[in-house]
Amino acid sequence: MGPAVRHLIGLALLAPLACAMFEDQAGKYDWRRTFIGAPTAAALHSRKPRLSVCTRPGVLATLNLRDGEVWWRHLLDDEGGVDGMAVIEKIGVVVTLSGGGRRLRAWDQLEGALRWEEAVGRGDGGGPSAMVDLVRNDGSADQPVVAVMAGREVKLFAATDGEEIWSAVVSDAPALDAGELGAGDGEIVAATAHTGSGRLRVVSLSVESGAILSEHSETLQQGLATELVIGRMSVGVLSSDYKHVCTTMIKGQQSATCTSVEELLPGKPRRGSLYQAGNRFLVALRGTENNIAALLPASGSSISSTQKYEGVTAATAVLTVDEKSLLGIVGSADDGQGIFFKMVDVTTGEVVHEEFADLHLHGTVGPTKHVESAFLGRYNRKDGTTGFRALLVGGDDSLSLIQQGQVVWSKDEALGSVQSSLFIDPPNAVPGVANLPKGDLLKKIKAQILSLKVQFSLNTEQEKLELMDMKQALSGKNAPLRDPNGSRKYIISATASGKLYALHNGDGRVVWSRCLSQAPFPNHVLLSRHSHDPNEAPQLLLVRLGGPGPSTILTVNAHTGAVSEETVPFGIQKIVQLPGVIRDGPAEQHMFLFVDDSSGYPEAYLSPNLPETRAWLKEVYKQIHFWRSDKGNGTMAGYGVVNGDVDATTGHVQLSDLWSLSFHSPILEIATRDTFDPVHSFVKILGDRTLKFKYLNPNTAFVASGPAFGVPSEELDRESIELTVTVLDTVTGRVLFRQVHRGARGPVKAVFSQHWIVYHYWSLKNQRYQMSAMELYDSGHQGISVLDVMLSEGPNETLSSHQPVPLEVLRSSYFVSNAVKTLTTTKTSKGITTQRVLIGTAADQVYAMDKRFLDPRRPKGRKPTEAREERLIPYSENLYMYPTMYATQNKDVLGLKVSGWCFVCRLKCECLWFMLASIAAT
Amino acid sequence: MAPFRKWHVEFEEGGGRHVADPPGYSATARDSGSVTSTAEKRKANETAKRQAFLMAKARAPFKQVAFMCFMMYMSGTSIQIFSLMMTISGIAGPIQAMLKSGEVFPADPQGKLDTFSPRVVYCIIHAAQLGFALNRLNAMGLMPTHASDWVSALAVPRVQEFASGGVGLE
Repeated sequence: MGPAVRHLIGLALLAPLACAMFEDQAGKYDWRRTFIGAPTAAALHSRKPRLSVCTRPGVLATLNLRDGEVWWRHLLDDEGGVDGMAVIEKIGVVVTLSGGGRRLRAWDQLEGALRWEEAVGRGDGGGPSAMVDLVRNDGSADQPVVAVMAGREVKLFAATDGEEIWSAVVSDAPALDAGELGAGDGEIVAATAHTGSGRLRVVSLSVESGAILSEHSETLQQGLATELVIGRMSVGVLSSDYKHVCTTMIKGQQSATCTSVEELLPGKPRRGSLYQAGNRFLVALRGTENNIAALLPASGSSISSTQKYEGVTAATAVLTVDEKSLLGIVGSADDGQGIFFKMVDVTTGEVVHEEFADLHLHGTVGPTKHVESAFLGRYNRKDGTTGFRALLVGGDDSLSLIQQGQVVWSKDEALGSVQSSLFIDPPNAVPGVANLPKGDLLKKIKAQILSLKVQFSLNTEQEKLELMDMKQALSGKNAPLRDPNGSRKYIISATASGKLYALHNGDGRVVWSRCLSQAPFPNHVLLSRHSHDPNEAPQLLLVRLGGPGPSTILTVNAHTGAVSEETVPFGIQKIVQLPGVIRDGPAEQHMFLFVDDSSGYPEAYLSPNLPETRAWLKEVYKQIHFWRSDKGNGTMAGYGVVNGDVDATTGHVQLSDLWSLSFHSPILEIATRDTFDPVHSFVKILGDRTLKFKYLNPNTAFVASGPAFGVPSEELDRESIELTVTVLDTVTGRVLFRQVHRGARGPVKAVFSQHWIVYHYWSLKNQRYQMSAMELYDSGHQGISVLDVMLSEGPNETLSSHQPVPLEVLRSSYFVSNAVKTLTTTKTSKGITTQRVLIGTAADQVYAMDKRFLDPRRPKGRKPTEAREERLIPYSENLYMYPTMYATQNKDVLGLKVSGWCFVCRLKCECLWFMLASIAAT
Repeated sequence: MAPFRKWHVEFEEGGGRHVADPPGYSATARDSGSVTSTAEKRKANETAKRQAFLMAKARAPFKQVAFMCFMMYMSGTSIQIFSLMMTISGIAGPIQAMLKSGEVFPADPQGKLDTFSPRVVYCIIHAAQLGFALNRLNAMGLMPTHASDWVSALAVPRVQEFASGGVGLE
């Protein structure tokens, strides 16, 4: 039957059931939220309403101090994030040190433009990095400069143009892992330490020449915490057990003195921080129950009660006001309601200013967190006195500005570090919530009038925003309930800061959020149990991947956020979702193998460890296989389950070696088919109406191996540079296909879906990026006739890796202009809709490329009739990226790390995308 | 005096023939001989004419079929509304005609007419059109004569083993 009639009949049959999207719904994104992450350093401008921050995910941003709006942000994607930041107000620049102390950059504070960039030479490359800004008098005028610690050296750069002024070696110790720089009066103090041996060295350098003014070394008996704090006269450091604070004078040869702070907090402190307080230090200790801070005495006397501050969790840097050195301390209020902010005179220990703010650091459910760090700013009040404001960073990754006891603004930045996400169905019914909002008539009429005004451009900006809000309110897509098509979903996201969110996919709002109580926080979310009864909430598992044992597994109710904990005695490096489910009434319980290979050999544990799951594994254990790879050494190994016996206590499953494979060069990329990837048809119909049978064995892996990433091509033998791509069976380890790309190397990104593979690599020979497409076909079925299909079982057999079929591989290659960060593909519920390859570009955008452009059957030369019938696009060696096909349109997803998770809903042609980055979610 | 009559025959019932027929005499035996009446001959001619008329009726669609086939040929094999309409009517027409051929050639209640042969001829002519129309349909590529038209019978094969590398941190 020809395609036209098939389509006509198909449409006629489906007419009563038809459900699809409107054309204008396709390719639009619903919402986009941008984040910067939790700040590690911040500088409040002394005169202008500007706030510059650098954050844990490596973002540098300037915000409006009045409302927290992000003016600009840059992701400094050098390895190691941002090591230091300094704002030089005089010339309006923000200087950053990043990439493990290798890159020094200056940015315009207002516009975010890059003023200059310098590479900081680091000698052997190791050691600590730190930065401080100061002023240098070059004889004629004061010149703003930045001093940078680069391992054993300190270098001075001009802040105006990045010119290196001098460089001095401050230590000859072989191993250094802690360092700090401080600016004194005409001098730079550099403190370096090796925390393991307690060796500490303090050097004072002349700002003008870099000459060493004084130096001395100490060895402290107590192990050191990595935080070195440089005070006005001395250098302080906390011992690794947080029980002593040791100080040594910058000038002078007297030995270091250690003060015990054990009496401050009974029991072992969980964390400790040391802050510089002029001539003194402030130590803040965090226990399991309470927190305390104390000003250390200038001399050897004990800490008096007036210098202790209960409940303090963070302190700010020292600010000099009216010749008084003041320091801000922040903590949770006694009654548990909100936080306090006090200013302390560091000389007397007296609290000179105190205010309380109604700031709550927790999710919609779950425990409360503390303020983790605080940054102080000052402003001049109208009456001429000095006022203080503080920027607070909460343990829940929130960012708040408090001033005069008021929370001026607050931002939740936890979603800037999403680690893992999952789409789940929302509840079927919520008391008091209607499936469709019941807007009153007047509201609807008003929306229509506003809509007309906007259409004819008669609106104000305010009216446009109001219309958008009204449309949102009147739309049914934002209801927190399940819909018949499955388009409404909750996005469950676990963040690096230990916060768990349920976001509504309609508008991205937070349905519920929860702070998890204790680190290490889980970094992977799994669907553990779901029910066909729509009133039963799905159950999720939250797991920490990659950590040593014992591990904590959290079970979460996906609709309410209720959490229960279970501790297992093993670490989890890999999670295998097993192909079966255990039915419990209308509910289906998924089964997993948690694999701990920290000991070098994989140990598998069945979860949940129940009699039913054990019985299931006993029945099917011969079919279950596991494989793992060692990318650095270029090896892969496969394992089978020995006898299906599961330890009833621990769930331990015995594995045995099945196969191993060596690629003789590092593995650059592995792509596998999703076992649960839906496939609509077994065959591909060609233009001449013959059939090609797809190779659909899901136990197939694509492996790319070649010269390791990071090794310069100049160091390699140019003739021997080649990229080998291998398609192998993961049950038997049999190599099904191998191809060598000569003159090509990584980085390689690949995606494997159904019977096709697309991969991206760098062609050294052509000096361009290339993409190759591969399609795998089972060539064992040739000349199949109508009668074969109608009268016999034909090729409707089961697939087995132990009965290999002859493989036909079609392939083609293309040049592409873009570097690629990630590759993935769209997925729909039945696998019917033409797939798109989602390309995450180096510019943090996502391009949705139609798979037909990556069809290896694209005809070269004159287009034959069959190709016309198949609507194959003629081959062109270049793959163009059309601006209209960017899924992200003109937006970027800063720090894109997963180019899109596609989740299917019950509409065949609808695919929900969730693009994830360390900074933004779209 | 009785009128002079050489002979006369009384046709009226009961008149002049009251004598019983002799044994072995059959009144109808006279008809089977070479002796036939004009009325009988007329009757036979009428039947033959009716039979010929039936055959002519059976052959009558030939021109129409030929014209239809010509039309179908002229409308081409590309898939368009006109060619599709022509081909569909080219298929539907003969099928309807063949199904209704019983009404076109009703059985003779006296059993004197042969309606079967003309009906067969009639059907053959229409079948020829049907054949031509199907040929056109095939030329359009709309006949399910290839294995590719039956792919829905080819289900995606189930895999017997399960292997996974699991999910882990990169």
